[in-house]
Amino acid sequence: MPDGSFAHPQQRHFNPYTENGGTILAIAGADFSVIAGDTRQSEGYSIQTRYAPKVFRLTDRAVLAVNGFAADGNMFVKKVKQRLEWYRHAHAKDMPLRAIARLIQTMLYAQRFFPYYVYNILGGIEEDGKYHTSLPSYSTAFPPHPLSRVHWIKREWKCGPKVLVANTFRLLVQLGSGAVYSFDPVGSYEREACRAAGAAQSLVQPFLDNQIYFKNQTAPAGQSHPTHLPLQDVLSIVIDSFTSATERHIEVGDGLEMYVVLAKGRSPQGLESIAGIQEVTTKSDSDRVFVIRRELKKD
Amino acid sequence: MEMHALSTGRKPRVVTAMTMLKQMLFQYQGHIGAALVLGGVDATGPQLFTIHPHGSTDKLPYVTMGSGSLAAMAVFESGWQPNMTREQALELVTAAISAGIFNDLGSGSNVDACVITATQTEMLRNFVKPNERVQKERSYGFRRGTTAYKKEEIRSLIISEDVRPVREGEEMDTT
Amino acid sequence: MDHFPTSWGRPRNEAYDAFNTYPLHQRPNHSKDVFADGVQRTQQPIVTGTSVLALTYKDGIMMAADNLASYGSLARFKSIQRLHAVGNSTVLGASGDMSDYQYIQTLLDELVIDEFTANDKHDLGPAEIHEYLSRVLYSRRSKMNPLWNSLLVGGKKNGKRFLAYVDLLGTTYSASTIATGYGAHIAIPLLRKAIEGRENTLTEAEARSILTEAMRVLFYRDARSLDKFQIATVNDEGVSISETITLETAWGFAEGIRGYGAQTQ
Repeated sequence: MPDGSFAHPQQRHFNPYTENGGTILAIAGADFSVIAGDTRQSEGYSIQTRYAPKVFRLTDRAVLAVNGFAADGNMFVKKVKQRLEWYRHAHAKDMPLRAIARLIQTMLYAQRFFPYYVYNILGGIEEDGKYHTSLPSYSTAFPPHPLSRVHWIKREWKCGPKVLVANTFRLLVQLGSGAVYSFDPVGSYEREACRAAGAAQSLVQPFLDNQIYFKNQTAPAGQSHPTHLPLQDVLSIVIDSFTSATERHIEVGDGLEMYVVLAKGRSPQGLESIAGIQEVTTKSDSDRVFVIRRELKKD
Repeated sequence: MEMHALSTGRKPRVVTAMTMLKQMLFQYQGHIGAALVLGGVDATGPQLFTIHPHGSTDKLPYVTMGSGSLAAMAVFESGWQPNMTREQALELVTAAISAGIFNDLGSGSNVDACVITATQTEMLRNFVKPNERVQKERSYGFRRGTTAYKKEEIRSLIISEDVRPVREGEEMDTT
Repeated sequence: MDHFPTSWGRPRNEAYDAFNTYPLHQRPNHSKDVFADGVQRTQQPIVTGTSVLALTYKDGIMMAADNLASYGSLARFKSIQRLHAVGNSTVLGASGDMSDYQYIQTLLDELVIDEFTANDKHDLGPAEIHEYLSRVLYSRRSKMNPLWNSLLVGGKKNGKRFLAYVDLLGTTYSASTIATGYGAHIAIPLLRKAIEGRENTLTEAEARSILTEAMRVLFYRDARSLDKFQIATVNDEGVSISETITLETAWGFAEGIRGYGAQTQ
């Protein structure tokens, strides 16, 4: 105060949040998911680092992308991983994807009045895929596939006063399905086929709506749009989303990290031939996780 | 500037441009949010100025402005020396702008440069382009008929008319 | 005459004091109970240190910070040390509030002693120190009572180099070259150009001259900096912090400058 008086004791308010830029996205396929994020971390007009991961493998079938305030994001991922480890100790298996999604919602909502300033996208394989009835011979049925269910069919015939009963069974093999869950900072969430979040959400989401959901595109007469795209197409769309966001958003760039989660039993068609791909699966005979890294422009 | 040159009958000086700019910016009390670097060569020799949005000015041997000014000035502070050649100077300003391009998010992708000598001004638009667009993975052409529409109306823009000259030999001169 | 700087008024608009270097502390307000609104804890930096610079080179990491602790715009303490060895493979560099930094030093010294007394053939490396500091700073920001610092942690353990940042918000990151404060704007462009892609070939002498040049440029442009600084290196031989180095500077260009406009004499 120019007159030297302090009529109102002044307090400079401490702001416990900041924004660290970057963008994340995830797309679900029929039996795979792709979860991606750029690797730039910035504050204001400065690049803090050109490599800070925003996408994290949680289990062999779940990958979490976190965007917003980096300190909250790292702390949140740390706590989710800890809860998943406790779950493994208690149940001797990995938590299913839909359960991880609900866990994340409760963990976010627990901080409702001092939120984690982060947007989360969870991608991976859900255990609700199509049951594939394959069961002709006895030999293929045993030992049963771990993801299979034996579906008993009981048939009854009335034959005068008697009831004849015959039991037959079919083996149902379940294929995992690609799934994406997106969250707001306080835990609202839904399952979707694709979602972009972060600095360039407003650039990328409309592109995804158009290319994944075929919004504003009428199908040729007598044909319909596919409900799921093949992996190669999805990877191309992800790469193009990030190169475009890099062109038009200053906070996006430097590097791209894409995680691919493949449902168990799906052959990784063409995936091994991608340059620099790395498998990060921890167990055999499970869903598989891969990482693909690409350079983005650094300006 | 042109008016000033005409009324004085002399070539205008860089300080004149600087003074006119600072007087205008001061008049607008910072509401014209322009931060300028002004350079030129006149009867008194080569000179550089910075002009801030409120009208204050500075005259220095090397100057920077804008969000990338700290990055660029760092390059100048470590690379500038008196009496540099044209090539040395062009290399230094390119390095200074490049420092902004790669380290400051507010700076763009390409380098423009301008060399002013006593006799000519050379604008070097896109002098260096270190950030060319990369090739897309897919092409995004849309099939004809992709966009849905509610109605179709086709109008002919061709108007055909018969012209009957009223009197022979009195056609309008259309040359 | 009121000798209390706070009463002299704030010289500049808040917007021009982005780094919060001007001290404005609460004076006792006798008109009412100071505890009426509960505990006041959100503070602001008082005695501050400016940039810390660091880079990775062939054999380890190198860090530099000047010897100044400012009291607002006053150059208050001109021979303080802002580089601190933690254990025998880590160095910590601090900018921001110097009292908070000294408190952090006591925490770390305690931690290192506890680790030593455990005598379990374990000692804390740079990654562990950084993790510890990030937890301390993040928990303090979450209590709305931050430790007002930007810290760099560097070191080398088991042949692995480590260099990372943590600040008052708990924000962390790692890179081959990092700087705090004005260094992030002024020194980083120079350091990145000199280091990126050469992390594994740069010699100690080259690294030292790159850091010295960056410190010189900072001294030219950061008004809260000093021409006296120290360099810390961590390599396979351990931690070493240099004696104070005085920068050589050149101001000859100023001789020819006359005024800011039309002045010629």
